[in-house]
Amino acid sequence: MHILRSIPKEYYIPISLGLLFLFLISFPLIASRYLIFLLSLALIYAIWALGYNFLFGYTGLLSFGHAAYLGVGAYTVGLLIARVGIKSFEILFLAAVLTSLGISALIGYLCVKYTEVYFALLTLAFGEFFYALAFKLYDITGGSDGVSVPYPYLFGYLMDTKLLYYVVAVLFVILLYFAWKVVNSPFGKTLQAIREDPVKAEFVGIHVKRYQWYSFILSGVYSGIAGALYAPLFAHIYPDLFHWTTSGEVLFVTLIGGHRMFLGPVLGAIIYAFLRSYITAYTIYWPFVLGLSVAVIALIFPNGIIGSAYSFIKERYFSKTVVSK
Amino acid sequence: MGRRVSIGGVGYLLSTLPLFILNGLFYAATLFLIASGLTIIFSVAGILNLAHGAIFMLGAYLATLTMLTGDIRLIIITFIIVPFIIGLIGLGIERGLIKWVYDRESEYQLLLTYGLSLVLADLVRMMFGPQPISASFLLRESGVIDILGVTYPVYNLIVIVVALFVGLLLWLFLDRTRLGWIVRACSFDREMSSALGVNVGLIYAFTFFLGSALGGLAGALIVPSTVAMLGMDVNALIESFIVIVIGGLGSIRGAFIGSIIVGLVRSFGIYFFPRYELAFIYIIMAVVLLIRPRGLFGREYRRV
Repeated sequence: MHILRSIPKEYYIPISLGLLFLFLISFPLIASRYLIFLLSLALIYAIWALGYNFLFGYTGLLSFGHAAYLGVGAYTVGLLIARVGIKSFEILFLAAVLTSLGISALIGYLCVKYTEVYFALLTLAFGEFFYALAFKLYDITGGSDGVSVPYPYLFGYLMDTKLLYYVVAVLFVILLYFAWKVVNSPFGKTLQAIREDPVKAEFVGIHVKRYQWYSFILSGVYSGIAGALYAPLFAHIYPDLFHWTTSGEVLFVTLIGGHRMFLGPVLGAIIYAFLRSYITAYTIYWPFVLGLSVAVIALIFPNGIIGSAYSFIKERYFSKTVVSK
Repeated sequence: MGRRVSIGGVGYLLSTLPLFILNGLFYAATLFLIASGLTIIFSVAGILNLAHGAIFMLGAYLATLTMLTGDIRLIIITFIIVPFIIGLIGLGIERGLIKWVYDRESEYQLLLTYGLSLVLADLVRMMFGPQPISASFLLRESGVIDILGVTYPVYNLIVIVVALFVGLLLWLFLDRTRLGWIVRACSFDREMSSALGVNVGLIYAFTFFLGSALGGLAGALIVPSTVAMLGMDVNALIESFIVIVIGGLGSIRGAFIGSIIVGLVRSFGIYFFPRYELAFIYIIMAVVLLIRPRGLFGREYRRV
């Protein structure tokens, strides 16, 4: 503890990020291929959920259609590799960022005109549009079979599972740091003000709809990046990426971690990736488990499982004020 | 790509026009039943029931149980029994689970019904298996009829008539009966109704029964002419969302007009632009959203 105290507070973040980065980079030295795959998946979900939480946790808008932007990112990369023949991941990545940016800006513009129930309804409807599109444009998208995606190249190196893992890890650390910067910036505080009370926020001169739109786009781009990494990880793209159960997965990830905590989605993603790989080994009724957990969380743990546990422990053991009855 | 319409094609188009219209109306009929159930629940209880699609699917699957027997009396009773059972399931869900989240933020209500939807859909998969179930006995037995120069299945016509009849009953109920007035009063102002001595909780429960029963009826009606299959829940939910957005959330009249628009657009779209028919519906929805955000018949969206 003595050493910890001697470190100035402003170094906490760079040091912990550095330690995280070192851990992630050295992880493949000790882990099996399957574990590397699972951790890649967990980090991709973490990127996606971090983006999703800008909208859900920080702006207070619940979207049921965020699979659309993951899918757009994945399909952009997958189709450009398989149909156009672009193999360079730098270009593919940029293309995925741009398409997810464009599409989330367009759909977000329509959706943020509404709040609460109507917002959820619209995001869901637009999300399913892409699902149907992936089926209907079968000569491009391969219909229900999808398209298998060959490995791309990063600066001329073949991007196999291992190199992909490093790319995912580096991007994750960068995006985590960026997310931290965003939520603590005036922009992030504005979003939180909107979440707490949109009417008051409007009164103090915040252009609520515009900020909600920005938040929507930001989360769309994070989702697109996650999708761009998802396609080469599975070497396959398929319409279920757009399905509303996929949107439910990011919701689930955010909820088990707790949407009121910055790191909640990251913890949720790690739990989720491992949990899912075990549960799907035992039962084919994964949606049942997913749905039941979401319902239970909604009824009993409004702050998410980790979030509720955290606030319980904090109140029980670290509370500074003693409440007497 | 759309089929090329030549000079001969125009004559063909005119002669088959009634077919498109009938198909569109048949499609609109089931859509109206689903969407009106959804919209009644929303306007009274304030809950957007994301499990409504799964309720509809459950109705369809339950109806296949009797449809497959081929016993005509049993099948006729199905159209009364299935909505009743589905209504009871809706009632049970409301009393058991949704009751507890009325006072919570809308996110938690949505999360709960979303979770329920996945659970119900997977229960259907557990009970009936992943294969689509076809039970077209009634469609075959009722035969076809020549109408407006085209040959059309009698059963589909019956469905259109039944939906119109149910819509009429619904309107009479809400507009002309005492219970209907109370239901509408609860949708306008919950606290005032409660203060006037209305048992609001009971009305909410009744609304869930009614809305779910409408979904169940739609499911039972659609089985003979299509199939009961997994995934029909999400499709129905999304399409009734679109109907509701076009017509206006919380309006039966809006659900009626909206479902006719969506039904006809789909039926024409499938013929001319089979790959883009869905895009048309979304474009109409986007235009309505931009020009008239509360839908054609929606009242000002406000939750007290």
